[in-house]
Amino acid sequence: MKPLLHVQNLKVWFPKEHNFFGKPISFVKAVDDVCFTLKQGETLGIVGESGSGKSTTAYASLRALTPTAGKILLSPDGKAEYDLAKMNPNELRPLRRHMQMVFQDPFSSLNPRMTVQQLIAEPLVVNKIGTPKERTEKVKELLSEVGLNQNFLTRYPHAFSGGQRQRIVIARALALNPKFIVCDEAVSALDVSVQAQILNLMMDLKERFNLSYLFIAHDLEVVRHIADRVAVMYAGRLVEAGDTKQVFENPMHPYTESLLRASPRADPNRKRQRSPLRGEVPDPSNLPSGCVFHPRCPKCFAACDKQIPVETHKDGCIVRCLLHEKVGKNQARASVN
Amino acid sequence: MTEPSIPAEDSPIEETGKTEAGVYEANQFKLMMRRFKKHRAAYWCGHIVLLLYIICLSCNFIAPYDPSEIHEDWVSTPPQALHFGKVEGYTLPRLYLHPYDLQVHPVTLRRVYKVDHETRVPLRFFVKGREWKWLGIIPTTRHLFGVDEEAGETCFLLGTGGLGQDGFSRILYGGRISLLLGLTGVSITFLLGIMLGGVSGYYGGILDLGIQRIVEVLQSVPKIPIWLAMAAAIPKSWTSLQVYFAMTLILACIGWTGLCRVVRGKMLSLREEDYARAASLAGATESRIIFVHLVPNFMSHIVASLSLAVPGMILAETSLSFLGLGLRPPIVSWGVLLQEATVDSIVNQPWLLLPALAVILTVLSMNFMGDGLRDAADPYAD
Repeated sequence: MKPLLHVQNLKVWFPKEHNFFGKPISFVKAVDDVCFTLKQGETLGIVGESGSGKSTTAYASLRALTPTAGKILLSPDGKAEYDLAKMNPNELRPLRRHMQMVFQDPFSSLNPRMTVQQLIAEPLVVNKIGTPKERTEKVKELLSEVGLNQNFLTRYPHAFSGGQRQRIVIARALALNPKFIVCDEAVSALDVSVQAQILNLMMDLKERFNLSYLFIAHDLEVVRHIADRVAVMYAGRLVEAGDTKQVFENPMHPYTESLLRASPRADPNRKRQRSPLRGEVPDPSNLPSGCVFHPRCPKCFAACDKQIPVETHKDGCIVRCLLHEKVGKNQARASVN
Repeated sequence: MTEPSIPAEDSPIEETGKTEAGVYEANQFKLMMRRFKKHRAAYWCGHIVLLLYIICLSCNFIAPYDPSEIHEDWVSTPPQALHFGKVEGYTLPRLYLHPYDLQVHPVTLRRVYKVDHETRVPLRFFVKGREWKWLGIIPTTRHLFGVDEEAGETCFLLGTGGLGQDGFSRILYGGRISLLLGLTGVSITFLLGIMLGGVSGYYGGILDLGIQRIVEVLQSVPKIPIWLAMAAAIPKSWTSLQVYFAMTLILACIGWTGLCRVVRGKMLSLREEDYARAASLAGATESRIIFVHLVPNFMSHIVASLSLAVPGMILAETSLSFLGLGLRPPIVSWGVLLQEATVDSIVNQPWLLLPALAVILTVLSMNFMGDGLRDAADPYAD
């Protein structure tokens, strides 16, 4: 059985400067050579700092923007496979019902001029599913699924709080019975107490609707709570991916290590080892040579600025670091000695 | 962002009170009207504008005379004042006028109108007069008010012009032309502005570039010379109706540029809103996104900026006609009426400037209303 979503060598480059003839000569490499898979019924968390390309990856895998290169293979039933990267908007439209999105800001993702009924029914209307009466029934059903009162149908979004709005957004995303939902920082605009409710709702719905989530977040604790697997991005590249537990407890990439160390934990007994990274995230239009992380890496050695690390599989995880490549190990040892 | 008092988050299924449901279920138009009503000046000016339109559109019924009817005996009469009191032959007090006594100065031969304070001419309501058609179909002869013309009585409430035409009737008929010209001109502006601005903002690229350059060129051309040129291009042989539509088109062709920019800017910002993206991810077509999601969300701003554009149109028509470039008699518009008010005539007949007062009243109240609408246009502001 094929994975639900298989992204191969995804590149999203935005042209930055053009030459005299309008041909782009330099690029902002927002996403560069990213591969991942999302299996049926799985939650994949993507974490990273601001500007690491998480959201761009999410948008590109939904084809909300056109990737520069790479394949985005969607197989809704596990058999037929569609390469979303090469399709035009008209070919994509029938496939849109398999993939939906929950946005970060629940205040701008609901059209203020529509009632709750119109908002949730919209995916059904544009895909011409059901009669108006059936749609109303479906909307009511969805409202109770996400824990909202069915009498809210005629209200406008301004009548709701952030958490309630996010519930409406989720109900709307569920309307088409999608296979997977991309959550772009879906809870980061909410209060912590509300975050937990929405996360639990999402986990609950995942079981009931057999959903898969591509969960983008910068809050590591949220991802740890919800994700089965996690992928860490840095400067447009995937540096490490693997089981959530394994990545969190036994990070292999130096960047993942420092990321985890920097995240606050609600545990007063834990001793914090502060060792903040030097420098800043590199300019995506002018990335360092070799491994993009080498200027800030505490474990950097001679080959790091020359050789681009490749994906190395180790203990079921994927890591892109020379330390874990055969060449790297020896060299690292040599440079330490 | 005003946050209505929300039901507790931990009990999302809790029902809220009935009174709150009113706000929650209010659509944007209702919220907008609510804010508009709070702006007192704008609210009342809105009423004045509405009243002006009603009066001028029913000028057939309200005006006591035909605007082109010539009273040879009553040339350049000053306004006749309305009084309230007892009139001979009636038990109840009512409105009446004093008639004029025409005398010719023995030396200069100038006409002098003396008010005859002894006689009281009652103002009659719903009198029979010249025939007009209700809604252009049903013929009727009733008018709101008038006097017994057969007995030689007159009611020139705002005086008469150099040809003995009733000023009050002419201001009403002129208002109909001027106010409608503003409205039709703005409607054409609206169509052009929305379409070109929408295309420019939504699709961008080379289309945007082209349209914006055209807008810049049109905006950089000085207005009066271009009006002159276009008005000069109207053939003299055209009927007054043709001239009227040509004028409307000319004014609209220059007026759309501002709106085009507003629409483009709004498109550019709304296109990036998450709900537009959400709709496209749900599989909505481009036209649905534009007409269901984007246009309604900036429509209120457009309405506000249009209501500010109407007085501009009216002023443009007035000044053009005043300069003799726009509408020409026998069409009556405020500009045409003001054309009669030359330096010489104003000295002796200051009432010829009264159409200017009508223009000022209209433009001021429209501006106030437009300001209020603009402030109310975004019900979610502050």
